[in-house]
Amino acid sequence: MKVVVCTKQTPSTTAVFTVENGRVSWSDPSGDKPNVVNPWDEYAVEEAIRLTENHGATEAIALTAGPPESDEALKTCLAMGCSQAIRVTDDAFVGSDTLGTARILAAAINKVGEVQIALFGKQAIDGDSGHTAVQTARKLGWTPLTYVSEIKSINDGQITVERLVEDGKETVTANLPVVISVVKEINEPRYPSFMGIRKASRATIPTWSAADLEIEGRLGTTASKADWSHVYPIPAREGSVEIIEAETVAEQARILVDRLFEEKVI
Amino acid sequence: MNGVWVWIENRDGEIIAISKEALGVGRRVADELGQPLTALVFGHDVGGVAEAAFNLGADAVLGADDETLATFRVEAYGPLLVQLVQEREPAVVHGR
Repeated sequence: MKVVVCTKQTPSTTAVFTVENGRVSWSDPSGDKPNVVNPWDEYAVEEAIRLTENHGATEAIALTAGPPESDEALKTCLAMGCSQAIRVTDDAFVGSDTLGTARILAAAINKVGEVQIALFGKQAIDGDSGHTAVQTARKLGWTPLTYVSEIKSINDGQITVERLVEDGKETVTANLPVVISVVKEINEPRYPSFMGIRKASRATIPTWSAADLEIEGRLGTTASKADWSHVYPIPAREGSVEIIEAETVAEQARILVDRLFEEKVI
Repeated sequence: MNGVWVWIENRDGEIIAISKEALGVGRRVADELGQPLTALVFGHDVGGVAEAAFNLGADAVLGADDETLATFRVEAYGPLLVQLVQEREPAVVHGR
C-alpha cells in the first residue's frame, strides 16, 4: 500500500506581504526562508510517515505541483521521513486554479500507481479554499474524508477514521482508496532529523511534466474557473486617539464619562 | 439563469448558524439579480427545517427527505446536488 501526501509550498507565517497592482509578493525580513511547507500539510506529512510505521504502508511519497523552488518544501518532507518526493511542473500548469491543480495531482497519483491513501492538509494558508483535496478525490473517483483527526484502523480494504466536525467527532468507515484531509488534532509533526536533513540535501527529486501525465481536462490560467481579479491589501483602519489630561484621576474619569456620553458609547 | 440557491446545513432539526447567515447573503444576491432565492434542504424529517428556511427569507425550498440522507455522506449528497444543478441550472449555488 502506497501513500501519497500532497503538499504545497506557501509563504511562511512570518512573511511580510505587499500588494501592488493586484500582484502579491512577499519576503521574510526575519530570515531567509520566505517559503515553507504549508503548515497544515505538516500534519499530513507526519501522518503519511506514521502510516508506514504503524499501518503497513510501503511508501510515503511527497507530491507537489510547482516551480523548482518547491523542491525546498519537498526536501523538508524527505528530511521528516518521506521515502520519496516527486514534483510535477510544466508551463501549461501555470495559473491553474484548485480544479486544475486537482486534475494535475490526480494524474500524478494515478501515475505513481497502487496508491490507497492520498493525504492533504485541510487547506493551504495562502489560498485558504480547502477545495483541492475534495476536487482531487472527485477526479480520482475516490471517497473524500475531510477534517480527519484520527486514523483508527485499516483492514480488509477499508479504513476507519474519526472526523472533527463542529459539534464533536464522528467515526466514518470507507472503502479504500480514499483521499484524506487532516486537521491539526491528528498528530504532532516531528522535526526533521539531522540525518534526514543530510539525506534530503543530497536527494534528487524527479520532475514530471504534462507529457508524462494523462491529465483529463484543461489547465492553466485560461481554463481556471476562479479568477483572483481583485487582490488588494486590507485598508488601514482610521481612528484617532485622545488623551484626557486633568489635575486628578477623579477629574480625568469625570471628563472621560462626559466624553463617552457625548459619543453615545454609554 | 434560474435563481440563487443556498445550501442549508441542518442538525437535529435546526438550521445551523452559518447557514442562516448564508440565507441572508443569498437573499441580498437574489434581490440584486432580481431572481428567486431557493433553499436546499437535504436530510430526514426535515419539514421543520424547510419551514424555517421560508421564515428566513427563502422564496422556495428544494428538499430531499429520505432515511438514507439522515447523516451527511458526500457520496449520497454530492450526486443528488449535482443532478439538481444540472437539471435546473441555477445562476448561483451558495454554500457556507
